[in-house]
Amino acid sequence: MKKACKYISVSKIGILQSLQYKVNTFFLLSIIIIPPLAYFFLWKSVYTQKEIIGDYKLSELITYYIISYFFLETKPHAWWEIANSIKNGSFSKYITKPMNHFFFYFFFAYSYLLSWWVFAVFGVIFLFFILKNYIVLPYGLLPFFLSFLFGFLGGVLGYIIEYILNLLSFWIEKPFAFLRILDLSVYFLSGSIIPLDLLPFKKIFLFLPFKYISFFPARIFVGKIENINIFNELFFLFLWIIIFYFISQVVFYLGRKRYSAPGSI
Amino acid sequence: MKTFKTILKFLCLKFKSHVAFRTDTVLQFFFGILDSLFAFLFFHVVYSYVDNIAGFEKGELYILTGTAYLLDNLYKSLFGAGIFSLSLLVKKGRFEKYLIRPFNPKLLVALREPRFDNFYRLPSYFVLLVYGFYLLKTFPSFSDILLYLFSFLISLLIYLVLHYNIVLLTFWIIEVYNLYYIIYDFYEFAKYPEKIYKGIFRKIFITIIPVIILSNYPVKFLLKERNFFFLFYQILILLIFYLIFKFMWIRGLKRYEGATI
Repeated sequence: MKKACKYISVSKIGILQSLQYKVNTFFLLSIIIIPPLAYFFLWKSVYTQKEIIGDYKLSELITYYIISYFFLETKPHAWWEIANSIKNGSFSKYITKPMNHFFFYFFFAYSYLLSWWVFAVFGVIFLFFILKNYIVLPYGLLPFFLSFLFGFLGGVLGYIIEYILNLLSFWIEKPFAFLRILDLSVYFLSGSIIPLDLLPFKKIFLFLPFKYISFFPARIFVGKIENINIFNELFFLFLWIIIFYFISQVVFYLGRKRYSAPGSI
Repeated sequence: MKTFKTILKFLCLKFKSHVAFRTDTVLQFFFGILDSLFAFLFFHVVYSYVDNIAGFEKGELYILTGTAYLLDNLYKSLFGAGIFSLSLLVKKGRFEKYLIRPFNPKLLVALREPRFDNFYRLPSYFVLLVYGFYLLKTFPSFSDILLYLFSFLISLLIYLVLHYNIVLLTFWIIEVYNLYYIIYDFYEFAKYPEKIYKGIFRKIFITIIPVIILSNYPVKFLLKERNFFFLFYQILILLIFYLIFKFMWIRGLKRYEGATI
């Protein structure tokens, strides 16, 4: 219980910090609204020549983009602060605290996002309203619930992968290019630019764990769950999370041995 | 001329310090390749279903996308971080450091943090553009290229002033950095042909937030749609946004309170 209290306190701080500049958080809405709107215009123009692309109708594809962007942009980030702290020595203050470094950042990242989620949901509702003729809603509560379950767990997986890459700072002088490449790759491999099942060599893309970040939840949301064994997918998602969590702990253990606390007392 | 020389010297110094991290340089180059590859794949998939998008053939679209990426990354490498940091300077009350130097403060702020990371990505976007011409099997004339470059330069200046105007709001709103990203988000519209936008959205993106003219108008010169009206319109937009910028700069400085000694 005492252990849980520590992380609850961290979460409280995260929530308070995120509420500090509400107007600033409000402006972040553009990232939820604008890119799907741009895709809407593009695909609407494409669909004037074709009724179905892949197995998507126009309304399904537009809804897919909105939901996929929602999950991609509301996933927690293991911010570059971790990499920065290793480089400038402020990492020392974390390893001297009686807390698990991974969970400290994990709880902080999730709590910091709470107010953002509220704004983001309003952003999605706004898009659903202005594009109401091009939206499909899930049939019943189950796809809705499953979509959010996969979205949440996919976010956890994305966080762990990002955390591992941040820890590369123990070995690399400037890890930020790696992190940028990861950001870009996640953006594409999670299916936010184009649904993964429309890509050539789709079997490779559908094998990678990134699909759980936004492609999979968005596809469930638009009702494309035929040919999918939900329990199998859930099992694989948990497996990926466990594997990456294990890797993150090994990398942390090895990295800590190399840490030289530059510039800190 | 003196200002130009100083800027050049400053950029050279920044560049030297940046190339010290060779792995980073290589990775940034790789980032550009990956980014272009993803854009290539996206349109490759779309064009596997249709022949054209709003009259744009595949090659034409690669030229448009290549131009949009080039413009965005050139802006980010030269001015992006500098202008963004203005909000921090004002928030912390350190802006006067730049006001008292014997150099144009508007230029100094814009150029104070060039990011060469984005600069290394430019060749791969250029390849995307050239690949577009390869698909079209035509090449523009020398005069078309000159007009394209001139129009591209005006677009770059419009993009710069657009960002500057947003960041100048920092004199009135304390925390503004997410607002700054709105222009980057709106820039998504610049990557696609202008004809796909209809109604009120089209009007907004040509006048109030003129993102679609930034890439579409220069490309018109490469695609043999030479019409000087487009150039005139770009200059007009630049002038209007520059006047807004001047007004906001003067009013903003009056509101500013420094915090250094």
